[in-house]
Amino acid sequence: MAKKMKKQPKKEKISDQEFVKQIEQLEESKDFHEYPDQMCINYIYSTGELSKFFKEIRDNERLFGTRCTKCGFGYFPPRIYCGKCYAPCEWEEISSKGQIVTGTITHFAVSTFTNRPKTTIAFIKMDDMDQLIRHTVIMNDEDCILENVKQGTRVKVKFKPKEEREGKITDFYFVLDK
Amino acid sequence: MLSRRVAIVGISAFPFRVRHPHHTYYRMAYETTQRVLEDASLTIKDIDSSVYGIYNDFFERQFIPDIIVHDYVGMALKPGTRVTTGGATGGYAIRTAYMEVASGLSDVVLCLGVEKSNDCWDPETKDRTPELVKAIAYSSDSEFVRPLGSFPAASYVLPVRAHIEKFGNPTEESMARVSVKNHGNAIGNPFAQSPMKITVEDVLKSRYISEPFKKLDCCLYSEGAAAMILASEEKAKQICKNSGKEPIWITGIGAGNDTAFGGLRPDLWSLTSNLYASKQCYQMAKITDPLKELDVAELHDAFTGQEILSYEDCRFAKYGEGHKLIDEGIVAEGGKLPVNLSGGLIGCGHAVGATGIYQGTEIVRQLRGEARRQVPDAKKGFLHSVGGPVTAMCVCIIMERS
Repeated sequence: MAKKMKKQPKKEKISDQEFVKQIEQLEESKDFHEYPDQMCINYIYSTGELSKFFKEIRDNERLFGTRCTKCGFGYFPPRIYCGKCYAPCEWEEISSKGQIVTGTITHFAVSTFTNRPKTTIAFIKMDDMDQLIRHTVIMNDEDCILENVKQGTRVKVKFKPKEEREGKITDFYFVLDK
Repeated sequence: MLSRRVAIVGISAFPFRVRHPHHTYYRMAYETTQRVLEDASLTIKDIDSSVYGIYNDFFERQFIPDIIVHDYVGMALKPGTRVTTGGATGGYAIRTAYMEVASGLSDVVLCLGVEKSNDCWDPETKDRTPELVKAIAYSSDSEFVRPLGSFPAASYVLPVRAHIEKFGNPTEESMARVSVKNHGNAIGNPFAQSPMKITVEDVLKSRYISEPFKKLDCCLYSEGAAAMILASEEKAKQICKNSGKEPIWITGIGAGNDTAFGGLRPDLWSLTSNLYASKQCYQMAKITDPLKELDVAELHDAFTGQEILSYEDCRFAKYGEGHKLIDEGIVAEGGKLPVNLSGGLIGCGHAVGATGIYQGTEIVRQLRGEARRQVPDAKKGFLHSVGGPVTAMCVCIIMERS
């Protein structure tokens, strides 16, 4: 049985400033415990109805989008149903060329794709498709300027060498189509 | 319009800081709950149900962290729901709490947002931010986006770049002015992580993160918490009579989520979810000219350029003219519609699940007349909460003093 406690006097309301000061004083001390930990799960992830897209990239260096059988909208990356019409889409091989719609040069490397400190991320419209794909454009240093990441810049897909391809979106990247 | 009117009868916040290593997330939740109960002169027994805004399981290192919070704050055996909608978690948590009261399911609801973030740590580099950003990257599509190396500044800069290409603005100077304003507004705010007196030059000289966003154009991730108590009209009147605080009524709520892929949006230069959410909330609150009718606003300024685009989609300005609001001082303290007098995310930091609720508490302070940078006689306030891939998720809320 819990010990019966003496009745505490009612706690006085303190101001925001006083409350924050108390927390800051507490946080000044280095006397806390921490230990390293991680959250990690391994997968063998099934790509379901998108398998064709990934297998064609890996095995044949071919790009496939899908097109809605009702409204004709071209999806790239592909999806097999059109969310707007609720109609099925059909697979369609597309050209590897397109153009930048908008993009940025990032200076913060978190990418597992490339260790470059400077990377170009852009929304690209493939010539044969309607949806824009967000992807990486790899450029040499003198080309990697905002001027080259503007609307209308022509780009094309480049596949990684066969031995590096895993059937993932990172199997290809874009380069300037000069 | 739902059947019952809903008021905010209590507010509290826990300071937004880089780290609170002396506090677990559930202790931060507890202290913030205790403060909000004090503010409303209630006890935890008076609360019928609760809504928790907690964004990222990797941050807390815990799935369903809400049940631990629920237990810790003394809500065992009562209903509790967690909301997680990226940066819009806070706004959606308020919307959910509102629905619980308006529907008649509960009379008094605790709406609490809490987030740890900087326990994320890379043992190789001994660095926190890249590991935290990695945790966030799992919010982007794992098939087509995350493997390419995704991070929020790169995602949120794309509409701004598209806007610049279409309209020739906002310029880097206009964006820098937002940074100067919000860092400056945070000065004197005890809850803020980044109060700073800086100049446009300082912002322009800071290093590029995602062009044209520079370091001082971006908010920082924080640990912190914030809470509100929402009540039905009948209960609100009783509670406020007892606490001596003024009830603040929620008179408009709008929400909308855009496509998960930015590449499916025809007008990349517009934050379309913001347009839909704000339109819905203005309709409900019968507002036709927000710039004229609103007295104060808190916008989700994760990045300076995003705040400027929000002016347009929330219809404070015409498309292509949002920059004028910052350039001409309209959104500054003392201006026609001050935006982010708390400091916003740029000045206060971004404790993701808590951010929207925290900004809501600042609107309540303004309407109660107890804010640090008080807008004289503020009657109507606007809250804007945004998150998800390329600003996909948005909640807008109008609050009013009776």
